Amino acid sequence: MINNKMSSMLLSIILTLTTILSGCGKAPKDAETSDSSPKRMAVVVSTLNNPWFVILAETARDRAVELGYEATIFDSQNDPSKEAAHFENIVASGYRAILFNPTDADGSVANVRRAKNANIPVFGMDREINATDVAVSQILSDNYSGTVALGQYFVKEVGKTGKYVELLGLVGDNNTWNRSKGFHSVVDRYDGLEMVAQQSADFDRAKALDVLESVLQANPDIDAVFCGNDAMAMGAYQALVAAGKAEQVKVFGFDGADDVVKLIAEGKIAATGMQFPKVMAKTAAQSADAYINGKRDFPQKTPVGVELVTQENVARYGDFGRKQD
Amino acid sequence: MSKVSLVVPSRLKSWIIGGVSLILFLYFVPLFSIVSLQDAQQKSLAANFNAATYIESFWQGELQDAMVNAVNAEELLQAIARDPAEAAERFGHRLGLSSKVAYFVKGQGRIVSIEDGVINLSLNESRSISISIDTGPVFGNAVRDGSGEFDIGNFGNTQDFNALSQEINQRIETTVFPYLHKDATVGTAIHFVGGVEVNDYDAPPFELKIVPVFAEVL
Repeated sequence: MINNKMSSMLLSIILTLTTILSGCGKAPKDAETSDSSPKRMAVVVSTLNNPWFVILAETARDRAVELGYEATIFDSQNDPSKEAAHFENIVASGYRAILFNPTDADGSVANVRRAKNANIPVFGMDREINATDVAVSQILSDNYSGTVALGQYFVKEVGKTGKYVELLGLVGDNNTWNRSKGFHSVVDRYDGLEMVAQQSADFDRAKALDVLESVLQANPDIDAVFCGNDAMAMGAYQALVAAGKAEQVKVFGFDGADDVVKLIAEGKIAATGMQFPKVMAKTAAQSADAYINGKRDFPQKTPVGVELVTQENVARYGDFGRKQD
Repeated sequence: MSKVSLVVPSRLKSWIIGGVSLILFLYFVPLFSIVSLQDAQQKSLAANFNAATYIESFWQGELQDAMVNAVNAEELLQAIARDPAEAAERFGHRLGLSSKVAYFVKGQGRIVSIEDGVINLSLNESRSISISIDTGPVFGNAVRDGSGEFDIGNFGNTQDFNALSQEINQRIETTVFPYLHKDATVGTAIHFVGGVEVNDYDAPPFELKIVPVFAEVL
């Protein structure tokens, strides 16, 4: 008798443990979206340690507020585990929609799926996730085309021969590779252009400064630096100033950050690709509002054009877009 | 009241310990993992994508329709001169929220000069907008976007979408340009079909540089 009970107990323990450990838990509860609750939107941003993303997040939040929502910004600090914790919190807290700038093209998919399963629509901003069936819509910078134009200008400015360094962004982010591939689709056609170093500085200004300082020790005779974003362009420029090489080495960035646009106007940085963070953030917030109000027909991906900013046309740009925007 | 004491036979104890150990072992070293169907489909979509195959199919299929439906260059120039934004709306393709517009055009002109990477043309009427044919290297998305045959939403990620342009451009360089480099001479007439990108859809461009998918020196 006791043996039978023990066998049943053992079986129960095994089944329970198996269920828990294999993760086959209960589906998340649907978010509470009763009409009496305040209308809230969450803005989840990859990092606030970069002015460009601050603009993206704050514009999304401000547009959501203008549309009548309470809006909160969640900073993932470029850490996928922090991002996952934010999503758990958001799903449990009854937000109506998420305006999302992911940390990782693959790693962030599960978070968006969790929100979708809880009936919380997600609208991507700037960075892409590698899935087309989880976010309602993704509003993305057309990075590849932007860096094709930048690559052509690079060849025009640097020439068909020379040595250059490439600073990559986060290696898990599609934007990093779209930018790099767009740039290389042009410069790799010229055999005389030699890339002496290609290193990641994680889209971070301080890391870019460190990386380029170290690269310059081994390669003091470079002609140019191509950076996957403007924060790294600022760090690279700082390293070149410290090394007394800012005059002879041309720096190319990507983003259209205000400090880089100003340095282009002063002739200190060669060019950048102007993304439009305000356009993306506003479009995401407005799409979320339209979704909440019943619209369902959204394109899965909406690319936002990137424009080349050089000394010739810099007067047209500022405040993270075209001046008339 | 009598006390009930639970006596676990030593053999059963061994089974419990063995079972729990096995579960823990399988947790850390699983024999298989469960992946949702959607995740598997998405991964399969990305893994199966082959730009060369995709473009081979496009070249034999949709491109032929796009060539037939291409706007006549003369008609496009007249429309741009009247109202660039309206011309873009009527004949062009804009990708998402972009100021850039791409057209697919066909026409005939006379070669007035040949430079490194470009053949300059004169059409029947003189225009303020110059017309030229790109002879490489080809960059950008003039054919992919100008043809209007590709929807970015159908691709697992934008890297796949961008790979289409690389493949198209490479194909043009290997199939169309050798012919142009060999036969194009100043003064001869040329028939062309191709894509062209204009930076600002609502402003008249200074030039239309056509990336040809077809060219025939007459």
